[in-house]
Amino acid sequence: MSGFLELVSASRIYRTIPTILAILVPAAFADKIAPELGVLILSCILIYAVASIHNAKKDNDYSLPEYYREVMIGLAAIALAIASSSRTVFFTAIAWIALGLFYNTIARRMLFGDNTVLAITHFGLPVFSSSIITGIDARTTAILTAFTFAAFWFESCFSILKV
Amino acid sequence: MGDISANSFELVLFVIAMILILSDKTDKKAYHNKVRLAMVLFLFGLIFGKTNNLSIILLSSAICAAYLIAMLPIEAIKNRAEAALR
Repeated sequence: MSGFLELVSASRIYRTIPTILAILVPAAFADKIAPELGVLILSCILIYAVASIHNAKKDNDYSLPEYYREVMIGLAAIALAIASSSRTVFFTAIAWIALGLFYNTIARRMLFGDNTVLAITHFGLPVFSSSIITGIDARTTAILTAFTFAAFWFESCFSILKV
Repeated sequence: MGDISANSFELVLFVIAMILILSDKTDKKAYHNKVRLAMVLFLFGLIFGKTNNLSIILLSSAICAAYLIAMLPIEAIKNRAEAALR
């Protein structure tokens, strides 16, 4: 039981809240909520849990149970199954998984690699997908994506370099 | 559909966010939480300032409130209350 609880805390899903709010920003600009946004949010939470457990194992932050790999694969499969209901969400989910792997293997060893990947996965990509789903125009999509990406890029620079 | 221009509410949240980001950085974990909280407040301000859609406002408010509750320093509050009772 304690292994399972450790796995749940390793998923650190509360950290997806800023990303969920970022997904709602284009919805606020479009003044409407599309059902696909719910699918995007759910996929985001599940994939974040997978990446977070992978990260916890890499960093040895938590003593994870032996079945952690099966849980990761299961969560990723559920996320992809849910995401397959929409082409935009499905490609976003694939990009999230690929970038999550890239972050945990290569990006963290590169200068500004970690915060660049995090800015894409946490803000740039979800805002871009949400903009496509809500149907806002290309100019606002580009501005919102660039703005949220840049805000988080600089913010995580503060957070990583200044502490 | 609105343009990206700040109203007073967004500006107030932005200032709070900046204060949080630029405040004490000695405790790394607490600092990371503050950065995340700053981002949440900033995004909430952006959403709140751009829409009149009640479901979006309620949803973002609920998410923001859940985050604030999750971030409550329960252990520190408990320790302080115990110390006060002693």
